[in-house]
Amino acid sequence: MTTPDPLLSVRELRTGFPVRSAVLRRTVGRIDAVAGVSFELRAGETLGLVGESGSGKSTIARTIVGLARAASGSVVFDGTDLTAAGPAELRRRLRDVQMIFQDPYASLNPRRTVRELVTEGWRIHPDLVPRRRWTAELAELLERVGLDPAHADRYPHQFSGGQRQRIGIARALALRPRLVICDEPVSALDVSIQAQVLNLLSDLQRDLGLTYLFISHDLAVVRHVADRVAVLYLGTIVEEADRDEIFTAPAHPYTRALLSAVPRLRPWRDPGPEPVPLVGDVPSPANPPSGCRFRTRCPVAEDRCATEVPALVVRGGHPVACHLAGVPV
Amino acid sequence: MEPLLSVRDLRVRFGAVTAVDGVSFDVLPGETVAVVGESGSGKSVTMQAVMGLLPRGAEVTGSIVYDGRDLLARPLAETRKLCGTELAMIFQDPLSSLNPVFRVGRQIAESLVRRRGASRKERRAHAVELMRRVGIPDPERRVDEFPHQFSGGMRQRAMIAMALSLGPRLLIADEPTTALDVTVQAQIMRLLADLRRETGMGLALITHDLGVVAGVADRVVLMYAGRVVETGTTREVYDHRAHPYTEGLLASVPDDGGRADRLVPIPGQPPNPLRPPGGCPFHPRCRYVVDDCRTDAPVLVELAGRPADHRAACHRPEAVGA
Repeated sequence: MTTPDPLLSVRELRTGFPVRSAVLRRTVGRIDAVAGVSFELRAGETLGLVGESGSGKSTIARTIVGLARAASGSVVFDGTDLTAAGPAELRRRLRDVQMIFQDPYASLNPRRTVRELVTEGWRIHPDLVPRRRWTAELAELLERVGLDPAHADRYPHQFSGGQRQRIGIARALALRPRLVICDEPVSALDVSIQAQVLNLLSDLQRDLGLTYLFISHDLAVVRHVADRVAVLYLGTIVEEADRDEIFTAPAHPYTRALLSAVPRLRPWRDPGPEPVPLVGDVPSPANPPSGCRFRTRCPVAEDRCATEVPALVVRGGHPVACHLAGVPV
Repeated sequence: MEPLLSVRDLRVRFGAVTAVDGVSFDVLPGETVAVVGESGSGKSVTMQAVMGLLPRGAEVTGSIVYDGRDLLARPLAETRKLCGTELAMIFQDPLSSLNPVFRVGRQIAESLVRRRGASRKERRAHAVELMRRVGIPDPERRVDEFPHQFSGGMRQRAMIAMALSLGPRLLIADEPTTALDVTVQAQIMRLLADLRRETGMGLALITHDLGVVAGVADRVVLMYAGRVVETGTTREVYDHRAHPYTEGLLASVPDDGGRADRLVPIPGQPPNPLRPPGGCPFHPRCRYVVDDCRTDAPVLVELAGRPADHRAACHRPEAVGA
């Protein structure tokens, strides 16, 4: 059996931002927000990118859709390297890659009606939906995401948070994407509404054959939606595995710490893994630790962790970037 | 044991909007009580009323008895005086509660200046000691730093140090870890639990996170649309939920233990506070709704066969979880 080509292949991606001095705005350094990240996404699957603040998860998303520039590496979507494509080709290809943002309050223009917001993409890509079909297609789309088509001429502020996220989803789907990047799509929503939106995303994936890159800091949410999970720390992937494997057999000390930090709903029944105490906070990406980037907070770090960068290679079943993978913490 | 704080039939109105509608609960000395709800449930407004932090124009009725004194019946100045000495509060976003232009140490020791008078040297030593106690590394150096030099977790520790500076008997924590990463959240919750044990202070935790509640709270007060819908010891409420909203919330959480492929969301949206539904405020979203629910608002009552402190406001508690 041959494995089909991945829909998205990210290779050795680096994305950085200049650090400028306060007064003269001279470049005084660089922050590598994404420091050499590789992963693949097959059509129809969901890859969960998990990380805390400063892990680079959102920068990866922004680089894929061209909102941030890659310093090096490649982003190959369906055979085309997006980092090397010209503007016209990029625009054409990116139609197939849409994004759903965390904050439906900030990502929708408050002066546009739902109709204007959702049909905007059709205006930009006139070959997609003929104008006479707009009203019908819009109604269908709104119904599909669970909104009342009769509300198409309302403004975002007239909707609740969960409904606004549905508008964001309709807007992304309007372009009939193949890949949808969900950047913390439910983090700003109340728990009871989160579940509605997560269920909607899974229905849409099943019905439309979508591929998701699902970015979140919330492991419980990722466990619920992802087929595979990649754990990020300070701009690098530290571990990657199938969903069940990452949750039942985590090998990187950071993954284990992250899993043990998730509060249990009923700790008296299921106390969860032994807590892995992490000291301190994530270091600044402007000045990452030498060697393994996690070593300053790692409970098992040794001398070599300060000098040798651990490669992301298969150690005991799946790729882990740790010299001491599997060592009890 | 006499409660440290006893809130009875609290109502808070902002013009036509009733944000808190007849809320009652107690916090005993040394106990952790979680006030849980989603946005608009009135959980934060309830605690702002306790702290005397409501904006002018808010209409407050009922009673808030702290250590035998009804704060609502006494001048606001008295509540203000209690705040910072016996009552302290920490907030979700420590950056907006810290003054960016003053050194962290000075802010931590500020209450000491205002309320007790102390020399500069004493204040500094006090700040360093508090910073050490809340786990800020290298406090002798960091005491002279500014808030922007602190990470989110360290800022929240600084806020906790500030709240602890005068030895409060009740600490109110309003979503203290919502803005923090999960590994840092675990550190802060452990710190709060340790401090509560060491000092014997009461802790009122306002949160939307049922997982956080399960780990630290002795008792839980669950709010919906300005009312208490269910209350009891945490384990009792989680394992023997009696209100459909509690049941819905627990089922909505993607629990780490389960691998259910489909979550069971609560249908619909939270009520519009300008046009609250009649009867039980949860009835439009409730799967057990009967005619009574549309007309009569249920009151918080004890449940047959359950401990007396487990109460729910539902006409059909026996249907839940059945």
